[in-house]
Amino acid sequence: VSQDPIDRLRDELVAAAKRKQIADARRLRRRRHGLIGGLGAMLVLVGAPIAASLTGVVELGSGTTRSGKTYTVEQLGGGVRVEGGSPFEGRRGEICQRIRVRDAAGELIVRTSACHAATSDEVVLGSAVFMAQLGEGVLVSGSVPSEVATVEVSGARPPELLSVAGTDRRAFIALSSDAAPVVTALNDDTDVVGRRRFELPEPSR
Amino acid sequence: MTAYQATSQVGLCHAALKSDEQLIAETAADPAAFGVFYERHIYTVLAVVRSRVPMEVAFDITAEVFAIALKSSNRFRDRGKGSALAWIIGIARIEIADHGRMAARDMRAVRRLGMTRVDLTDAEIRALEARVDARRTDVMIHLRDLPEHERLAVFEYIVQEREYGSIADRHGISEAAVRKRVSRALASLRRQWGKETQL
Repeated sequence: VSQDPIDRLRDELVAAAKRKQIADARRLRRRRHGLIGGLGAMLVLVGAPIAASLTGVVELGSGTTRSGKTYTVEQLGGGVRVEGGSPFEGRRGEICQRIRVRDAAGELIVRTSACHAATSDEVVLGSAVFMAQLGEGVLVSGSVPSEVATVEVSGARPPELLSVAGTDRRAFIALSSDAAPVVTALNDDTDVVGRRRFELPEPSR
Repeated sequence: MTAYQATSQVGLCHAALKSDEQLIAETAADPAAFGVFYERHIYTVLAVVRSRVPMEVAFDITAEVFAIALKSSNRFRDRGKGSALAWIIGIARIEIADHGRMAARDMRAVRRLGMTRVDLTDAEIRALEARVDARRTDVMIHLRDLPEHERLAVFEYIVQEREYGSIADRHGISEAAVRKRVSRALASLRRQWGKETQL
């Protein structure tokens, strides 16, 4: 082993580059696994305002726009549609996602930004948005770390996991008919690695 | 010759033919490529950092500079010959400025990459000082030997971090001409350094 500090630093850097190569390959495999289910829709969509002209153009599912934004479009009962924009890292490190809900005619019903802190060690983080006015249940917006392969939400089909720029976490949105939905996170071997029940906040008076 | 150089002689011969930009681009697939990039520029970066801070701190900052470059190698954008050197010197400048703002270096990238910190003995610090001073003098001599227009171009592009377009406007020449000047100057400096390393 060389004693020269210049050589020692080079050896440390090359070893770190090898570790990074392995970690990058692993991360890529996870991401592919997480996104593969919904990548039927290769679309051009959505820059900033999701325009009404989208109706009839957007396919359901999830994908990536040409500008690199990820999105999900979920068709719900009665033609109601939830559009989740590209998740992003907020100013204080929180995970945020812009959510729009449209009725069957494409009219915007709800537009909101759901954010939650991503500083806890908890596997499933997130927030619930009350959707009773649509008669559809509870909209859950959350995030999970990269080791989670799939997410199950009580009373809803598994949502897609979308990468969050600047973090190792991936975000999801799901609409559940359950008034207090339980989100379960599973790894590649379908072991449960985290679970959380989402309670609606008390209505303010 | 070190053990590393002996075992990777063949690989290094191939890598030595590649540009800095190619080496950075290949780092994700071939970690040894980053080692070659490091070997080419360690003394340049160390000399730049050492000009602002004492050697024991300069070595830590240099380690952090290369660790940041490795961590973000996939974000490097090849803007032509010389852009990789300009990129790493840009990182060094930011790290030097950060050092001025912080009481102690926290070496975040080094820690995140799981690297062991290289501690220096007094004798090693003295030896490094001598090597860096010698190299800095060499660089100054070689820079002085460059034609005036090439020296100016490389100084503005690398030290002052101006864009090719801005240098072109200042001198009333095309962007392509600036690229050519910077490229020639860097090639010339590299040839000179290469000769001395072999001696």
